[in-house]
Amino acid sequence: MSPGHRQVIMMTDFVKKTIRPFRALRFLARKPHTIISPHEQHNDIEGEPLPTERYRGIHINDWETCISCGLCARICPCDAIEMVEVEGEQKKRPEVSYGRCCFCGFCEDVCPRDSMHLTSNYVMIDKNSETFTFLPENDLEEFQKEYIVETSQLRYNDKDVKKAEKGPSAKKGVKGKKKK
Amino acid sequence: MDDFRSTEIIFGPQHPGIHGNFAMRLELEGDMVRRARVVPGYLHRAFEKLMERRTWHQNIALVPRICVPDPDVNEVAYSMAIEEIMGLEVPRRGDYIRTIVLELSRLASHLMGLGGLGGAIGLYTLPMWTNGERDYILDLFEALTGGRVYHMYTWPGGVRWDMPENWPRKVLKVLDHIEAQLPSYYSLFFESKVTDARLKGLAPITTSWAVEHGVTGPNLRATGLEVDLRRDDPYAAYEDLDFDVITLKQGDGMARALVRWYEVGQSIRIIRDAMEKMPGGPVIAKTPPPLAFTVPPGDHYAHVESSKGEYGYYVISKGGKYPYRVHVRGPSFTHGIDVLEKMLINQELADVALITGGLDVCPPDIDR
Amino acid sequence: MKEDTLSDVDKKSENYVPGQTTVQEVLGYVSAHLPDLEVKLLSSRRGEILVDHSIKGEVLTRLKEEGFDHFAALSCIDLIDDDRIQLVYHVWSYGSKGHILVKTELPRKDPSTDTVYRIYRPAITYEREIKEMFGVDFPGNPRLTQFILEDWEGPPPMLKDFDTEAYAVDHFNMVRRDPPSKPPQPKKGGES
Ligand code: SF4
Ligand code: SF4
Repeated sequence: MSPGHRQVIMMTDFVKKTIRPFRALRFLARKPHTIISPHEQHNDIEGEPLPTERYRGIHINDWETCISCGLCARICPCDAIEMVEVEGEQKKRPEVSYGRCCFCGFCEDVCPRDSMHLTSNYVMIDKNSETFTFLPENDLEEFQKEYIVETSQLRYNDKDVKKAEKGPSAKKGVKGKKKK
Repeated sequence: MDDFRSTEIIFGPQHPGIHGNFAMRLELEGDMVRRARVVPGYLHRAFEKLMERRTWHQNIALVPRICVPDPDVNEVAYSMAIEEIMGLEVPRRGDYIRTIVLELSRLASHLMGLGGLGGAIGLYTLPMWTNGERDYILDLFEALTGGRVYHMYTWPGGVRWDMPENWPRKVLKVLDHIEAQLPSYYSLFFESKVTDARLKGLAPITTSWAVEHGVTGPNLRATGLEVDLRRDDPYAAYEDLDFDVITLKQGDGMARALVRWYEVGQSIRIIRDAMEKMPGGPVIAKTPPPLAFTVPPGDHYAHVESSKGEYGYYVISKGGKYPYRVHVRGPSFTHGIDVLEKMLINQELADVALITGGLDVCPPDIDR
Repeated sequence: MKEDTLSDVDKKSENYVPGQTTVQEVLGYVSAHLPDLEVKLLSSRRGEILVDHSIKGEVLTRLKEEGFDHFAALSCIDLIDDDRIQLVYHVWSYGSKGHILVKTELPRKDPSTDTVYRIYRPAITYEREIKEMFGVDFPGNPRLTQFILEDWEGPPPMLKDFDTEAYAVDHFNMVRRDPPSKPPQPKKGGES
């Protein structure tokens, strides 16, 4: 191997080992993966909003169709469902304790009348722990209105929040960079 | 060397360099580890005992918790053991979807593991990037299964639901995206001089030593033995699919990292292949409803190749609604205790985290 | 226990050649030489040998020589109805890709059997766990120290007659889920 040749190898090695890592600098121009939760929408790779409808979140139960068979309480691996008596109702209704629920969705699968469902809603913040044991009904939205996050409780940098609220909701830096 | 004072330090469980929830007692002489003792047990949740008191299906919600980065192998291995005892045939489409889920999970786990290695050598950019990519995979899991980390998607007999309509397209898109990123990750991590200096020649093991000590999976392949349960004892749809078993000869830290690196590429290839060959039909076999599900007496040991090594489920049924006993064999049960204790001897303290991370030790499957 | 370091190991033979003996051949050999053992072929890759625990060492040594050198697991099962404890040694051959389960039974009272860690090294940890969880003693194993259960003072917990609930009530401040005393009023919980 001639000395010149060796030098070339050393040079390429130098380029490879020392210069190339700096290509990472182009990542500086990218948007971060992190999102500012309630202010910014979480999107998947195609820019579609998450969570999808299959997401297993807070339960709803249609009391019209629920026949109070108690199967959901029996399948529940975490013992989170209890059939309780409700004032003004003849039948017992399933009550879910979110301290125990692992959101497996078995109660939904096993329900013979298709009345129990896990919605894709998972935001539920409250100071009182008793809130987290409740009877799922069909009007989750109204329920959620009361227990929705008070954004003032979350500590974010004001600047970030402003930026997030201004910008478009599709954030992840993939768009427009696809080949093909 | 007698007049050297030896120091004992307790490394973990609250230490940024420890790989999960366990601790090590290290006896040091200067900077060299002379004796290492692993202290497991911080994550013991008595799963094996709990499983004896839950129905066959309820256990599906329990088993993925045995391995956080790669949870699907547990569901699949457990279901496979039940299917074998019952003589259940999984529909082909169910097998293919299982394969895709398993490979996505392996991909996520390898990305996370490589990121962890980057963290152990002080290269904190890599974990940020790889975990960012992993997040796209979690998005996919969410769209398919409804859960991000624990999916509870595999049931005895198949999988719970079919794929959503636009899901295959999204999977391919994520794969394209990850593949496009891989070269920059490679040059960031493997072409860096620091990685060279830290990983090359780190705690090398030979094949015979590895086999003798029960090393499995990528760590064994890094010593040059071409073994892979996906090919040697095919399960799910692996026999139809095209992939290479990656082996390297050196058996050192660099080889262990590189095997994982190349397996990322193979996983992408397997998923693409499976998407292409995806057959139609049902995804789950006809089984009794979960509350009336019984398994005839029998026993079976089902094993799968996880991202860390061999995962085995030895399921014993005496008939009835509950398993009689389930024994879980996790890869870290050998890697994390006996193998690790030996590999750490005469290594520097600074390399302890790197060796542990390189073996991809995952304490939850030691403790269970 | 003397610890061999990795550099000692390097001097051992470099070339690893997986043995090629198949499950059928091994089972044939075992039933020819040890006729009182029960062998069963479960499928083309899986076989089962039932041995008395006094000769399991010889059987396992033989299996290892034939290439079944990956010790996959050691399972312990409490067969409380038969008053026995069953140990299952899972071995796998990388060459012929076969799996053999070696099953042996011990009496349930003071179970004890020789360690196999000199034959299969990984057994050292499995035996350590079984000692703690099932109370099976493995004379000869140097590492039967405390494993997962710290400060445990009860019977081995994985035995079928261990009463989990009674132990928990005895030893811990167990908080039960309260029965709902008042009719639940879901929309009145918050104080915000
Ligand atoms: S399984 Fe369905 S129908 Fe039966 S009690 Fe539960 S919610 Fe009602
Ligand atoms: S989602 Fe699972 S854990 Fe939660 S209430 Fe339903 S069955 Fe129980």
